[in-house]
This record gives sequence, C-alpha cells and structure tokens, in this order.
Amino acid sequence: MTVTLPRRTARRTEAPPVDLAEHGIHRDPVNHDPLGSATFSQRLVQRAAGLFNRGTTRRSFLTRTAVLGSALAVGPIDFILKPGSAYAYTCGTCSDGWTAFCCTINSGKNSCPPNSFVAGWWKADNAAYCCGAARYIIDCNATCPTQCACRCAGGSCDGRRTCCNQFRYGQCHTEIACYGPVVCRVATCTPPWRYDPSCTTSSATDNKTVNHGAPCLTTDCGGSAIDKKYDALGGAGGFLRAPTAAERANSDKRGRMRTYQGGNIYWTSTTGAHEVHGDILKEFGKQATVNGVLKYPTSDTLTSSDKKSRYNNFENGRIYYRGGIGTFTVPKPFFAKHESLRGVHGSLGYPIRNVTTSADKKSRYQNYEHGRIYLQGSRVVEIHGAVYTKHESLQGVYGPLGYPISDLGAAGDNRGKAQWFEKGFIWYTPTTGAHGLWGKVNDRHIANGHVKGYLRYPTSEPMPVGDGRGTYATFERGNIYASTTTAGFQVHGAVLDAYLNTYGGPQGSLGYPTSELDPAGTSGGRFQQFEGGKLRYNANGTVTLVS
Amino acid sequence: MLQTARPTTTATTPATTTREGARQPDRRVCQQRSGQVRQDGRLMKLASHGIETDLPPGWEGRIGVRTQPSADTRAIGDTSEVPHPIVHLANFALPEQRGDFGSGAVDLMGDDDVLVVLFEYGPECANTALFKRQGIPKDLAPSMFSSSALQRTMPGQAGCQIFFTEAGRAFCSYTVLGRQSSALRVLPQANDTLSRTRIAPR
Repeated sequence: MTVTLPRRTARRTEAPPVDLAEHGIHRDPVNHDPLGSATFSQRLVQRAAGLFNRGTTRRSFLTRTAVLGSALAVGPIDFILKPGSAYAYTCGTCSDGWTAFCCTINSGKNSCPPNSFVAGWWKADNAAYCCGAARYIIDCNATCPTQCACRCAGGSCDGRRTCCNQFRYGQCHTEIACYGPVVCRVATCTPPWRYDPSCTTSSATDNKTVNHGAPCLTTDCGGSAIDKKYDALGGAGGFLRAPTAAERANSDKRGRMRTYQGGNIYWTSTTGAHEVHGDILKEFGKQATVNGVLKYPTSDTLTSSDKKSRYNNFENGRIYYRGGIGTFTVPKPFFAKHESLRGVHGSLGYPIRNVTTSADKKSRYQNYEHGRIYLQGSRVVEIHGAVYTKHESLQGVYGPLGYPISDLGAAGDNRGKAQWFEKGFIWYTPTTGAHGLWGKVNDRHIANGHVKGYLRYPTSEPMPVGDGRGTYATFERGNIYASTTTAGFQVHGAVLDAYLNTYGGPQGSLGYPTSELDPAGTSGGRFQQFEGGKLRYNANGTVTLVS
Repeated sequence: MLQTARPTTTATTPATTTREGARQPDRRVCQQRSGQVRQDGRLMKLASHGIETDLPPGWEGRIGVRTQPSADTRAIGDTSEVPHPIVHLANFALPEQRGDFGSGAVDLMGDDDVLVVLFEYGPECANTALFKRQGIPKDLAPSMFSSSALQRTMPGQAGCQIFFTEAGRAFCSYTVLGRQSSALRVLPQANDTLSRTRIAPR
C-alpha cells in the first residue's frame, strides 16, 4: 500500500487562546500547542509514522509511510484521531524530536535570532565539542506573541525542528513569564551566566545530548570570548601583555571584563569582546567605564582614515585620541549629531574638549575644531564656521541671539545660509560674511521676506545710532532703522540716499522712519513716513520732502 | 561521596504492582538521594534535601543532587555552577542514566506511564514572574498537557511544565504522559503523588 504525502495545508480554524498562567503554566496563550494544529490527513500520516518511530532507528519518512497500511491494521482508530502533530510531526519522523541549533536557521550565527530570548540552559558533560569540558546548550524561546510557526529547520526533513517544542529550562530571564516554543539552541563552551548574565547558575544536565551537532558548529576549546579576544591580540606577547586579574562579571550584571597590564577587554553577549587601552582607556575610566554614559566598547582601538587619530567605538559614543592634543569623549547624543555632519571629516572637525555644562546651567556643550554642539533638553544643535565665530563674537549664548535652535542650513535662495537662534538669526554668504540680526530690526527683515526680500543679506549687526534711542543695520540693498518708540522700517534706494545725505538720517530732522515706502504703482505717488516728515519718491527717481 | 537516605514506611495502603528497575546509584552523578523500594502494603517515604514524598504503590522515585563541579572536574562543568535537588517520580522503572528533565526515561514510557519531575532552581528565582505561582501543583488536568510541551517531542506523549514557588524555593514541575489519551487514567495517580509531596524551607 502506498500513500501520498499530504502537503501542508492551511491550519485548521485557529484555536482560541489558552491562558493557563494562573496555574503556573506560561506557554504562549495564543500558541498553546504549535504541534496541535493539523489536518486529519496530516495526523493520519503522523500517527502512522509515529507508530514506527517507536523503538526503531531513524528511517526515512517515505519508508515509514509506505507501511501505513500496516500501521492502520494494528492501530485502533483512537491512534489516528489522537490530538497531535501535523507537519511538525511529519518532520519529526525524520528528525529526532529535538530543536535545531541556531546557526542552522540564523544565517550561521550561533546566537538567538530576533523575536526570541535566552530562556534557559543545560549542559552535557565530557563534550568533545568543548575538548572534554562541559558543553552548554542554551534555549532561545520565542517571545510572546510567537512570531514563528513549527517547521523543519531549513525546510529539510534532515534537519531538526524549529518553533515546535514548548519547553523551557527556566534559568534565564525569569522576569519574563510567557514563552513560546524553542526557536533554536545555542551551543557554547562558555557558561550561560557568562554568555547572558540574566541566566542563573542553577545547573541542569542532560548527557544524552552531548553529541548533538550541526554542520555549522565547530569545536570550541578556547575558553571565554574574552580569552579568545586576548589570544587573537597576541596574548601575553601582544600589547595587552599579562593578565592582572581574573575575568569577572561587571556590577551591571550585563557584561564581563578582564584587566591586563596593557589594557582591558570588555564583553557582553550583544557587543562581543573588545579591548580598550592606553589614553583611551584612561579617558574611559574618567567616564565611569561601562557604568557611565558610553557603556560597552563595540570596537577595538581603530585608526581614523586621515591617520590623525585613534578611537574606540562604544554603545553610546566614541573616544578620540590625538597624540599631543588630547583624548576626548563624544557621547550620545553629541556623537549622533557629530556623525551626521561627517564626524571628524566634516564641518566640525575633531573634538577639542569633553562635554561641559554651560555657566547658565541651561545646556551642555562640546567644542570642536570648527564649532560646537549644544544640548538643551532633548534639542541637539550644532554651530560651526563663520557663523560660530560670529555668534561667539556676539557673546555666544549670553548675547543678544541666545541659544541656537536649528543647525546651520540653506537660506533657500541658492546662495547663502542661515541659522535660527532663540532671539534672531545669523545670515551668511561668502561675500557678505556672517551677520546676526535680532530685535525690531530682525522682525522687519523677516516681515519683508528676509534674504529673499528687497534688502537681501545683512552686512552688519544692529548697531546703535548714537542718540540713545535707536538701532540700525545695513544690508546689501538698504538699511533698517528702529527706535525705542518706533518699529523697524526698511529704507532703501534714493529715499535712503536722501534720508542720510540730505536730511541727516535718524538724528536729523526726519528722525526715524514710521512706515515702509509705498509700493510701486500706488496711486497718488509713493511716500515714506518719518517722525519729522514725509518723503516722496518721484517717478523720475528724485526724492522730495513733502512736509 | 554518596549519601543515601533510607526509605521508611509510613502508611498501610495496599500495594498494587510495581515494576522493579535498576537500583544501582550513579556515584558520579548524585551526591545524595534516596530510592523507593517496594514493600507490600506500605507507602514508601522518600525524603532528602528538604523534600519529602510518600510514594504510592507501583511508583518509584529518586531525590538527588548532581555533583558540584570543582577545579579538578572541568568535564562536568564550571565551578560556579550550583546543582540543586531534582526529584524524579514515576509509575514505571526509572533507568539509571537520566537527564534532569527525564531524557532516557521518557524513551521507555508505555501508554499508561507517567513521569513527574521536580527541578529546583536557586533562591534568586523564587517569586519572580516565571515562578510567581505559589504552591506545588496537585491538580493536573488533561487540558494542561500538550504534545508540544516536551523537552523532546515523542509521538503520542504529552507534557506540562508548571513553574512555582513553595516555601521560598523555586521549582519546575514537569509531568510527562506516555500517551496523551491516557491522561484521564493516569493523572489521578500523578496528582495523588504530588499531593503527598512536601517541600520544607531551606
């Protein structure tokens, strides 16, 4: 009798959630039994195959299903109808009922894949994989809600299964109650509580698994990840020289470290093992090492592409070392801003100081070769180049502009740049340089279209007129005047010439402007009002005093 | 050095049948344990490491702690490891070579066989989210079992893990049924055995 192997079909109607947490059963309620969803035909095949699985060695699925008739002959109907597996069991008939190793399903990586967590472990003694030492198997259980379906790892019945076995060893992440099926297993010679500090040292043993393997697993005789890094760096003959203390767990219960004569190696399961040495290590120490803002190193010491510095990357920033200049930390969120501006190769250049709190306590900032980054609350703003120089010349954040609230950006006219501050702007072009505007003069410049208006870019900051009343600023195409009693108004062209040269400007008989020049085409002529009179702009380009 | 707790008789419930299994202790594996020996008409008390149970007729059990690895025994683990007591109770003959969660034993189970494992964790686990249930489970029901809730899936078998804290000690109760459809027949035995199991504070 022959049987056609049923294809995996859509699951039967989804089972309702089964939440047994109150009983201490924490299997994923919405994936209570990943093996339990099966079609009748799938269960039929499974039962038949399962019958022959007992007490036999592994056989091919087809061999077993080929004798389905015999199975049915000896198996009562309840054998067929028992609740149980489908595809998974079908797969299980040609696997051994165990879960696959992670390297089989996780792109070769011997670590938990996304949507799973380290949930427990056991060991097998005298493992050849660990050169005679104990070998640890760490289960990666699916997080709830389960994002995977029971299947054969790699889609092959030669592989073990994934996301099928709802079993938890339970020594790791006991703060997480709910768990899905075991996605895969990590095999390591490193004790699990060193691999993931959430694991406890409560020992579990299953020596029947000592020879479980996969093509992607190799023997591992090199000790801990820190030991391997040390060896890779030349061991005692390398720059780290001899160890000065035993490897130890850090107080953060997350990672481990070991000290050497020439530096330290730090490790976590997420960052791996990385060395830190020399002046960078000293600076790391000033920053409270892994307990500070930087957290764990994510690289060994590297050399910058411009050969001017050496640096280590950390989870939350970077430390730069420049011989003869200094060693400086660029922590989060300064680091992200700096990197967004091409880091040391960009407009800010290298850090030249560590992060400092401003005298007014309103910000923290870091100086760079060509600028500065300010952190105010959650706002991170950079300022650099001529604009930075101008801002500093205007007393920086304590001057009339206050703090920057945007990065330097394009002005929108394809020509210059602008930076917005709490109380004004700095405008920049290569021809005009950088100039700041604030107060009533700035208000008028903005109201009149700023650099896209008639006046274009400022060529000065607001300056005192000298009468104790007013200020003015010069622009590429005119001036803006303001006083304590008048708003800012733009004066330009022939009217400005007459205002300054004929009538003595704001300190002359006309005083300060009190209106803008009437727009072209205004019926009855174009006038501009001043405190002491009115100027008319005539069609022939001349200007006359009206009253 | 092996220390064996001597079983003692407690009650007079008539014995039914008991299948004798190998009784030779694995000296490398366990530092201390006690084994049940059938005595007709008596319940057998099994007590060690602050865990005590009265085995019904036809049942056998082990309470043990694996050897603590030392600097000279790298082959069995790291010196930081802390083995805790493990209880195996079964209505069938337990093989000597068993994984802590019953591998080796589950391979031998018949349709009406049941295995109960009590696996203890360190005190740091007690009352955490996973172990928030208080009290040893004594009310196992068929609905709690799943053919997927097994350390290693075996056709026809079903399992149930219950994490709990009792007397300040964290445990996992892992029960395996030789055949899921036999649950109604064998679970009363398992519940009876669990009801006779007591855990004292450390």
